Amino acid sequence: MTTRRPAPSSLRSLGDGLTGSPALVAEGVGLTYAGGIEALRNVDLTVADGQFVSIVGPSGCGKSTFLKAVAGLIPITHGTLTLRGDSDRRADVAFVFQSPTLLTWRTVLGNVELPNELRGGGRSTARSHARELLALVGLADFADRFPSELSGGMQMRVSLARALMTDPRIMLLDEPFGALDDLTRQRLNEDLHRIWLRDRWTGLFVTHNVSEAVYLSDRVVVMSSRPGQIVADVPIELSIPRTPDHRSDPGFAAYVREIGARLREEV
Amino acid sequence: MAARASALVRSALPPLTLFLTVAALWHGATAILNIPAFVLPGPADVAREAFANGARLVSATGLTAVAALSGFCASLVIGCLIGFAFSQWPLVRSSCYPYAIFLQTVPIVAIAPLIIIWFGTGLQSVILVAFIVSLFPMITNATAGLTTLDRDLLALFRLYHASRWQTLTKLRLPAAVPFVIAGAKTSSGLSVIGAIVGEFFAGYGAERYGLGYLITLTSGQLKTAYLFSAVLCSTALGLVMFGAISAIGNAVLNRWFRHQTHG
Repeated sequence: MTTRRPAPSSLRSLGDGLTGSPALVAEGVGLTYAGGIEALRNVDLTVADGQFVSIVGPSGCGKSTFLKAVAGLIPITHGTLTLRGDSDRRADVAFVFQSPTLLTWRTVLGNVELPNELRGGGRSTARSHARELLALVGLADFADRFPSELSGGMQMRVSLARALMTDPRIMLLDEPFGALDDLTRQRLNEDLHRIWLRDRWTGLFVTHNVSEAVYLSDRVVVMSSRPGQIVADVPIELSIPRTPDHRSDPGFAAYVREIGARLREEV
Repeated sequence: MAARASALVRSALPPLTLFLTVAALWHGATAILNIPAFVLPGPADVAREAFANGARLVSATGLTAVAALSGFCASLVIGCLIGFAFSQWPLVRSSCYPYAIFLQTVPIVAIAPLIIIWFGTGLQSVILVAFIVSLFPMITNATAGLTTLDRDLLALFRLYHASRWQTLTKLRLPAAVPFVIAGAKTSSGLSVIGAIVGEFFAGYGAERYGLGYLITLTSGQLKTAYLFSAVLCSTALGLVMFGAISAIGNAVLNRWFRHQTHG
């Protein structure tokens, strides 16, 4: 369950992910709630294996709903969703919520181990894996603390480590840094990017912060206001790995302007 | 340490001042207006009686405390079990809930005679009254705790295909603890009231008795100062029960359930 995969960085050099079987294919996805509210309409999105795609859109446009549908948490009413060639492949998926959603009565380490426990994985390997992941997110010294003793940014790091616990191939991140201040958010962006470079899972990242989306992504898609539809798909052709210097790059600013302008048309 | 002590003094000072002021006014009023002691004894009379009957007051308070604590513990355990049944089986909840409300609305005075007919006078009946009076808040709080859950946390458990048992033991039960603590605080005070009311009706007799019996006894004999001291003991017992349960509850909350900051 927790054995390490061979280093996946060799699987994909920049851009060639499109040749393998895609991690996510959404075809004509629609979602209408029982009450008649149409949250999503005819969403088509293909994400190559190992790609990092951000979804931006006005609040309430259904981008979070789309993410939860991909995770299988909300059933879709139209179209098909295929993950890694399988319509019901949740085993490879991890989800990071808007709030840290930690169990307050468990230590940081206990929270990170939770997914493994729920899946009935072995205990001893899980513990060392959880410690590794805490080190990866910079919380090696906080394993035995309780979540309430941590700042919001640190709690989010725990949430990230927990999501990584099952070695997911697809990470769904639902505005995970929305509640954090700018500096903390940038730090977490840099760490998330570093982790993605290490593992090369497929990332689907919902945010309303355009600069964050550009910094992290291979592609940024813009969703319209409700019912959500994809109205723009912008490849971000900045060099990888991204560094904090990219934020002052004119190319970076041009992307932020372009996507920001596209987004404003939708609000 | 000094800061803590001074904080304690600061928080204790206003109520203490009020207490002394009221006692002084009370003493003045009884002395000046020449009120007979059997109608309104002065604070000095009450203190004198309390000291004179110290041993009896202590044993009565002890007996009432045993009854209240037993009733409270029973309502804690049974209330949690009922709350658990309500949360797990909606049919049980919808069929039994109206009768649970009955516990809250029935005047205990009305069913006390029945309790005596069925269980006789004595400790068991007093405990039963304390239990009945303190049960309802435990049921509602335990039920609420087991059914109110963070939606994202539930989604997380679903995402990892947690079994019903895992969701119960790793999420629902621990998440219900703060609710149970809130219920226990309410119930702890109610259990003391229940024990005293129970003793009004089902007290033990002349040899061993609790505060409720002592109150009826002294009021019948117009030993008003003694009655006052028994009332004060009842109040103190209620405060101690509530304080102890709150302290335990707050310690648990502080350790495991402090709210996460989202900022």
